[in-house]
Amino acid sequence: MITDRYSRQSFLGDNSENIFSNCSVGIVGLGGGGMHIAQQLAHIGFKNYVLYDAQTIELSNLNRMVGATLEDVKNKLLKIDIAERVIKNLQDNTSILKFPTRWQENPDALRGCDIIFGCVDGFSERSELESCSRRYLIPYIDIGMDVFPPARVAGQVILSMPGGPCLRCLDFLNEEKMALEAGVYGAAGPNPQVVWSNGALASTAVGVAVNLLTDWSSSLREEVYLSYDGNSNLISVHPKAIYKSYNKCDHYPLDNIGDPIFEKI
Amino acid sequence: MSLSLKLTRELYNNIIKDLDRPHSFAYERVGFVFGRIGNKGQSDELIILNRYLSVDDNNYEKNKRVGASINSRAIRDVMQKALNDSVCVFHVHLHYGTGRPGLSRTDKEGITPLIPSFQAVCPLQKHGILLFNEDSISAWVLSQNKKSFLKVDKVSIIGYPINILY
Repeated sequence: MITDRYSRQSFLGDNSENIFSNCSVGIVGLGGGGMHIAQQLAHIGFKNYVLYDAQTIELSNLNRMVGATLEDVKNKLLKIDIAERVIKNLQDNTSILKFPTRWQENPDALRGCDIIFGCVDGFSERSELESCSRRYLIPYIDIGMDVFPPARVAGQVILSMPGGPCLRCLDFLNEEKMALEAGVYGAAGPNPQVVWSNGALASTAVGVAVNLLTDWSSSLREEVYLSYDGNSNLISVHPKAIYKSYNKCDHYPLDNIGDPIFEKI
Repeated sequence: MSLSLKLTRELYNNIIKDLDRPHSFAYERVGFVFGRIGNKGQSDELIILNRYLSVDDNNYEKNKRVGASINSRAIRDVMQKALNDSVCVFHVHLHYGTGRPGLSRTDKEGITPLIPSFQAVCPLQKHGILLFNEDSISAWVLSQNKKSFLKVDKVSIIGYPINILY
């Protein structure tokens, strides 16, 4: 049953409010993208969060971190604390686990999530996060953006569904990119980020998650690989998702699930 | 501590498809699902299922008192797999109807005594019972002391779409 607060999203289904309030979401990276996601999920009705970000807010973050304030910068707040405030200003009875660390230092809570949003910098970070998601059978939604010379804004939203094509299958990650990564992610300075691009990508990612959980459209039945063109303001299906068909993922076979086990040889 | 269980939608569909097949004399079919523990020892323990073993038609025994009866060869094969691969084992069968299914008296008498044998050969993983019906899944896990079965709090079917059952 839908309460008045969510009456405008009743098309998501009679049980949608229940689904959102019981679902546990992990958000790794509470910068421009992650904070948008947290805010939108709280608006929609999600109540259970696992948040990871080791950083304290800086003045340069204010160009894109929704919900953050000048006062937060003066008080040197942790990004996860700002995210918690944003969520709690929209939802009561929440469960928010916050880790001011890299997720690898506190992985247990992440493993209990129903969906993980990866809003991290760098291909190796994405690779590690996806590996964990696959091992614990958690759908992983990756977002990111960058600015390429001379002035091209590009980004992606990718759903990595256990059993389906992974970031490597889709060639978003490959060994060459991983090898080139250090100091070469984008080319317009330290990780350029702007609020409108972050917002477009975050909104798309949230839309994918909601569709996955409620099946409101009855149309999401295969991998999601969307590319964002910030110059023409278009989000479209990436050619690799159009022109290639994918069988089972060889990078993360379903035999490699659960906690690693050690065998005496 | 809460217990959760996950499987992919593809695995779920394969299990249903197999269990729904008619047998020449058994009223219903049974199978076994294998998996591994995730997050062992944490407050939210997780069992992830990844393989299904259909019981061969020849391993059913005629028994009019129960829906399905399988022979010791079928059970030994499952125990051997648990021992070799160090995996969780869940006995699975299908009820008809909707809503969260429960074990019948026959299920409790016939299936629950099986599970400790899997625990004996593979004590490091968890073992139990899965019960599907037309729109839901229930699961029980044998407790460490083998004296009772704990109801799994949450079962998630991962795929398009995600279904989370509480």
